[in-house]
Amino acid sequence: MESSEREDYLEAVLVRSLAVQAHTSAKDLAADLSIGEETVSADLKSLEEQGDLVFDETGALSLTVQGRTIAERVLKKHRVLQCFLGEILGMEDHAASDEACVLEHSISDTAINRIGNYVKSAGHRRNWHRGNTSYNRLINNNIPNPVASGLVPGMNKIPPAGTSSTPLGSTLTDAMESVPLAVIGITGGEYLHRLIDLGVIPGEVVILKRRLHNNAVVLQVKECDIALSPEIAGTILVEKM
Amino acid sequence: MKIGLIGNPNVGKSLIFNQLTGLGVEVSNYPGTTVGLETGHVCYQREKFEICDLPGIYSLDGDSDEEKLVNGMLERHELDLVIAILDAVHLERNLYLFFQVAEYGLPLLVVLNMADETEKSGISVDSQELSKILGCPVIMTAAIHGRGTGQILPSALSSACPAIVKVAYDHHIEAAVRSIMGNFPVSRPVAILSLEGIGADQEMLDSSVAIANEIENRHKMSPRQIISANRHHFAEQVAGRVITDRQKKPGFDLDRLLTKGIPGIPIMAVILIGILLVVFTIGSWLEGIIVFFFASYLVAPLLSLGLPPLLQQLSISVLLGLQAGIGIAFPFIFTFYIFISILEDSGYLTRAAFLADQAMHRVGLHGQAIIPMILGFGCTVPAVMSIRLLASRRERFIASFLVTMIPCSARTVIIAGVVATFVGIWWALSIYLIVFILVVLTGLFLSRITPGEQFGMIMEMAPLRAPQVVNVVKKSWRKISEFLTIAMPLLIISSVILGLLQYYGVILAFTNFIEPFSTMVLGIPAYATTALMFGILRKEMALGALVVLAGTPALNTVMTNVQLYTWAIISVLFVPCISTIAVLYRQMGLKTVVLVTTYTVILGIVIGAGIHLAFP
Repeated sequence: MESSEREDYLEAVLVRSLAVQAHTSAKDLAADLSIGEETVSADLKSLEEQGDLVFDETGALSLTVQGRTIAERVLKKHRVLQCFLGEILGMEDHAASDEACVLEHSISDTAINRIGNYVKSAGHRRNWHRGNTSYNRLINNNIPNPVASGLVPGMNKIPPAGTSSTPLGSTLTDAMESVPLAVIGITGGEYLHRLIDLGVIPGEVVILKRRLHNNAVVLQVKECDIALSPEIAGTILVEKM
Repeated sequence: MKIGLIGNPNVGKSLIFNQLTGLGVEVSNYPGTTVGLETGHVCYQREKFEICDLPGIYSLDGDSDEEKLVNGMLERHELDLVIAILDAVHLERNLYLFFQVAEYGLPLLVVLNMADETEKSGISVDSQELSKILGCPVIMTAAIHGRGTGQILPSALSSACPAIVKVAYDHHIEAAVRSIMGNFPVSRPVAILSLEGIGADQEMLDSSVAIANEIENRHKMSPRQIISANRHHFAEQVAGRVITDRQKKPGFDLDRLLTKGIPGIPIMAVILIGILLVVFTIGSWLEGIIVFFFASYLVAPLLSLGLPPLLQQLSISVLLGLQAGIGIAFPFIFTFYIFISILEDSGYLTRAAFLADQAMHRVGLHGQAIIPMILGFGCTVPAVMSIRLLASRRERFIASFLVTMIPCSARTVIIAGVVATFVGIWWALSIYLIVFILVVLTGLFLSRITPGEQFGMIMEMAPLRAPQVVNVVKKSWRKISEFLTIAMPLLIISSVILGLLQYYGVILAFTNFIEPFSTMVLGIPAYATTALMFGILRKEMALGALVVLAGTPALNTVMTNVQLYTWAIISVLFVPCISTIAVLYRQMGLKTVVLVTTYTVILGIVIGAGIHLAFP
């Protein structure tokens, strides 16, 4: 089975579990993906062998940690792409979704990060005063924490895999206080110049000294404390050291 | 010979300027205190030097007025010598600007200021090594304590020379700069700026853009980003070679309290309301003493002399003017300035700005706009000037309205002298509450209808410092002496003119004319409305005029509490004083001034009429 097919299956299971929360059978998936039931059963078997999902005694399937990690990554890519194609490029909703279905398998993490940040900053520029951009609503809020929501059986005991808890492209507004962070890039064009002057350049190690609940931050750069509004903090991409 | 002081914001340029020239320009502990160019002259060894205090900037390649001003002076070689002032504690960040300045090839002296604070932050700076690397003299100072500043001028004149240090840029950038310099007769720094897309020569910019695009395609970074990164990395290397880290003294970081929502915001409220209460209490206590002294030792003896009517009217007017100035305005204004100066010097204002960011976003501004608004409690004129801190025209437009509405210390005099004294201190505070609500509503409204772009806050936090008693008193004294030399004579002259007008019946005529409007719409006596007109000259003169026209400082004997309250709130709201109008005109243009003035006049009348309707 090709990896894109595997990703499609896992994504479909995740979407169902998020949407209806009822148990999913091979038959449901066959309907969702418009593929013959036999093929689906055979493919799911091999996925079970790979350790991506498990069947319970009633024939309902659920994702393992490994399967869920892959599924979440694909789903996030799907949503970033759909948001980009729909909101920024202005494509019709279903066309954007169809297109995203194809692109989500081959696009690299770097590219999706950049697109995600672009969409995010464009959203920030348009809707800064609402605090929550359409990007944030679409990408982050729709995927509940698997452990907290209890969607994944047995997940309470297993710590979530590192990859699944790291959002794609985290900005200063998602970072933790007092942890050294490396700046990866700045997406907001109009603020670039002043931030560069103050030493916020890619590769620079900074410390988030304070983040208020509205995401205004105090950032320590080159031993100086700099206060930033939320819409500016949201344009600075960082990663944990 | 012209000497320029150049450096980042808040490194102490103005303080050093004051110590060099003996002049008194405004010095504070928040970035951006100096907005324009300050010039002073100094004689050293029988030669005259012109010293310029330039506004603080972070780099020369920006498009703000300050950056253009400094850049222009360097480019046109208007300066013969540059004193680069660097903050020793934040050396690395400060070197970034220095390297850019050094490219202009002017004779340089480096002053490492705040040498006293390096120890506290656990570092030591090797100034000799730095001097060796940069190739120009370096001296250490602690200007806040006056240490080392005496050395600046002698060192600058004897040993300043162009720096030999040079940032090694990426070789593509170097090649591009060489190519621009080959095609156009410009200096290296101008060529570098042009590569970053900055400059006046369109032809050169066009050809630079072509090269810049090529570089950007290859590096996936714009030339500006590459150039800045090169400078930052070089600064890091140099700083690394001259700074030795020692053990940082463990201490309690006040910012752990001040920049947190809780308790930071309650602390901010306590500080601001506390200042108002303390000013009211101390002010009215001093006022009581001074007014009593005037009444019993000057006014009463004068009346008992039995002078001819005209002479008596004149001398009483002079006394009442003096009394209004010294007795009412002075105690409140001076106390107020002391507290504002403490706030300015402590570095607290930047904390307040950070906390206020969210709230200010709702009225279309950002955190930094809280600084003009707090300054507005002192005097509206410098507050309006500091509106320049804001980046976009939209923000400056909104801030013009809001800052003008903030009750300045002269209006505090009215609130304190009329409402706190005669009606009650809580009623006085309620005026602040009403004004606060009106400011918020105005902001909400303006942020919706004002076109233009919105920028967020990018503000360097000033270090927290215990304000120096001497500096605070000096600064307050300088402001109050301005009041004594400019406002006091005005108060006395206008008091005399008022007395004469009253004597010859002009005031009566105007009062009769305004009578129907005054009593019907506003519900206050006609002479009180006449007094309001004098508030246009200076706000506290409205009170002076009211005292003269009412004929007694005991205002509660001639007006009811509601009338006093209404009168105070109208004079607080209505028409900015003439100096505010002038500075607003210079800063924002005619249209804004007319709008602000009309708006405040209407607001004052509407609120006054509203109170009259509610409590007839």
